[in-house]
Amino acid sequence: MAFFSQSEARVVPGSAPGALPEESALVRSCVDGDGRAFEELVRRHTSRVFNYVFQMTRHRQDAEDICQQTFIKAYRNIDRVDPDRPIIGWLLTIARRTAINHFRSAKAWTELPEDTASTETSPARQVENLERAGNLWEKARQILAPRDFEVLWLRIAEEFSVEETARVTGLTQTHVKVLVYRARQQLMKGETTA
Amino acid sequence: MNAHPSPRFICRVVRGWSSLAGVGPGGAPAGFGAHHVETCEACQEYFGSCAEFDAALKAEAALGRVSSPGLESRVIAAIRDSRTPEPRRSRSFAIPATALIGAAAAFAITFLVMTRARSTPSNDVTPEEVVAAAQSISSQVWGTVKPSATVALKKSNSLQDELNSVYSDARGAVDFLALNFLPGPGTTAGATPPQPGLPAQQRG
Ligand SMILES: [Zn+2]
Repeated sequence: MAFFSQSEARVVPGSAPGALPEESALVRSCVDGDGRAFEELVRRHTSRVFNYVFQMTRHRQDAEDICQQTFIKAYRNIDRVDPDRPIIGWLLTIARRTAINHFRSAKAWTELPEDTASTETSPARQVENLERAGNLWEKARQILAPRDFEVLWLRIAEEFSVEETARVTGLTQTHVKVLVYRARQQLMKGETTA
Repeated sequence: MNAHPSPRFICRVVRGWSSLAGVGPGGAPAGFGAHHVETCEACQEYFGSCAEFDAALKAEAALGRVSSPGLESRVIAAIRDSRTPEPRRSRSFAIPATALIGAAAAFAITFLVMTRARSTPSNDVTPEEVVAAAQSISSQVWGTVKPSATVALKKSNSLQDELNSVYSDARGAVDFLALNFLPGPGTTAGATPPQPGLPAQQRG
């Protein structure tokens, strides 16, 4: 499943495990000090980094700020990245850590309610959202624990491998597999009982 | 409503095991699990549902992606801002600062030498004292100068190299001034300095 057409020259989710040769060349150029090569990487990956953070925070302004900080950090540390791996995994790892720092604790990152980081969601509101939601991901957000949602998003929406998902989230590969299995079971059960 | 009866124990084992060893999200299992699925309609239906569900999740993720107009441009602008001016500011500030402090140190040593040469007999000062005084002054001056300048330039390796070079040259100059112009025993300013590191008896 491609999110972008080839003509848009975007990187398709699920390009793991090996980096595309073109992207590897861009990363190597960045390491050699080619600023334009990094800007090309920004053009390719901004949307995915922003969407990942937005899916987790549901707060547009925060997601934009975190996305910007992510690329600045990546630019300063580009010599640390392995050019032979897809850079998106590394970018999302930075984004995740940046978001956690942004909200000052991992708890804040994993417990952000829908729509805004500062609004509390009452149980009644959760039921209302659940009934209103036509989108599977909205249901997933309501039903699943934030960590399970994140793992499912990386694994299915981003089409990350188990290994990449584990790297980004800091979990073991076995843990990732179990969480994905459990999340799918919960969601499918919700679908059949709805 | 749940139309599906509770799966048999073997079915649950196969489904759970496939999540750890299967070929992918919602994918059919390999090995003994594959053999079971071939003969179990319930599991065939289950894995079919998983695959459909994953496909639906992917499709809806694509539809649910949001755009942020202008974000790319803002990110690129922020990166350009972060990479160009900072090293230049550091360089233009740090190098003259180093030179100024070096000149001040040299002036202070010269002043000390002149006043001390006038006020004290030259044989009051031993070679060890001369070396110790020179090293003390030099260390104090450069101990304060180098860290701040280094911090200012830590983001640029080439500038760091340049600073190290300036630091080395200037420190050599201060040491030279101190050792040449601080009065030694029975010598006047400008005489051959004692060699640091040699015992006092061996020094000329
Ligand atoms: Zn079965």
